[in-house]
Amino acid sequence: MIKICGLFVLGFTMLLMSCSEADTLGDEPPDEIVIEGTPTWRNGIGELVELKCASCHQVPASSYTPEGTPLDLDLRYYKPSVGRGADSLRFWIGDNETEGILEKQLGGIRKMPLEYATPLTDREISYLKIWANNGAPE
Amino acid sequence: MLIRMLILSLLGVSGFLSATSVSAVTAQEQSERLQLIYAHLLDFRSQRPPMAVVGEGQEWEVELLHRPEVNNRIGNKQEPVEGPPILPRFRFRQFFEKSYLVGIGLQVPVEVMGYRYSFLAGEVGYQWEFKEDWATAVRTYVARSIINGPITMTNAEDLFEVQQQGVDASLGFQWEGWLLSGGLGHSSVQNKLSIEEDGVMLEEPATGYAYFYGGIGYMVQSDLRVQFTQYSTDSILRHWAVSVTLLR
Repeated sequence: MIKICGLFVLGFTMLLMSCSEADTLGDEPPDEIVIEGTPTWRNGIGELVELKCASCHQVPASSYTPEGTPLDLDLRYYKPSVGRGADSLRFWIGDNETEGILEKQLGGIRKMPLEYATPLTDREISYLKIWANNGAPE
Repeated sequence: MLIRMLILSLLGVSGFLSATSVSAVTAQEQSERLQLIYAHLLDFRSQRPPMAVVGEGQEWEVELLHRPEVNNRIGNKQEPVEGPPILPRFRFRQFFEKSYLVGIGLQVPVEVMGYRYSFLAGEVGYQWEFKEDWATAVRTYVARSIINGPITMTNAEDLFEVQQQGVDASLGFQWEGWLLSGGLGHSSVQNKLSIEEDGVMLEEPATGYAYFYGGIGYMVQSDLRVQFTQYSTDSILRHWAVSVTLLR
């Protein structure tokens, strides 16, 4: 009888004490970059591209760069001393028929960013398209 | 990570005057946090009260770790992924001369709810009865866990690997059949997550963290013990575990 009571108390204590929770960052959506005025590399685009594109597109490649990513594209810089920089994005993200990689797959190249990369908001996409259509000014 | 977030936020404030930026939550940070939580959860904790009365012999144990609700959102992914709420382990401990402990823990890779969880660990320890009904114990361990399953997306076959090693110390008090215990430990962990969908390998360098725990157990019979332990880790994870142990 004492043992049964003991087990009951133990079970009740466990119920009271039990606490199980994980504080992930999954509830926090990525922050949006807001640009005032005309988007240029120095006015917001640089920050946006570095935060949401360059984590994978950098030279040398980071540990979380997906397989098949171009190894000569460094989006941390507008014009890097070696390889291609962010100025080359104007050939990929504009409104021409052969462009628009932020909205669709282009040939064998997947839509960017990939699903597990930091997503872009609609407003951020519009900044990038305006910037590319203006010739990607520095 | 906090330091990095602080640096990012400082860069954001000072970099471009006309661009508004606050501390950024990026897919990387979400992934790193998720990996850390799983790594902490899979650590090889003591789950054993230092017992004032113990003899030479063995302990055969089934340990059940509770997995809390985890929001595994990374980047654009919105869909929830349901995983098994309980992670089971089997443990065996061998005692020598009442004080020295050598043990192993394992989980054979059986698929549950789409997850295949494999675990292998080893531990050595020493316990000391310093006063009647009071005992303390120290322990060191190494552990390796592998989870195959839809960690990031339904139907994906992601691969999560964790390597851990650590030390802990615990204090226990025995009162009749009751076993009260508490302890703290430090573990270092290295993990990597391979996301099948994008062929991405998210590898985290070794990092250390502290944890503490408190437990209550009961000797149902002279050779049967039940134990409940509440763990808290780095303020980002709290979870409990229960175990049933047969003493021989």
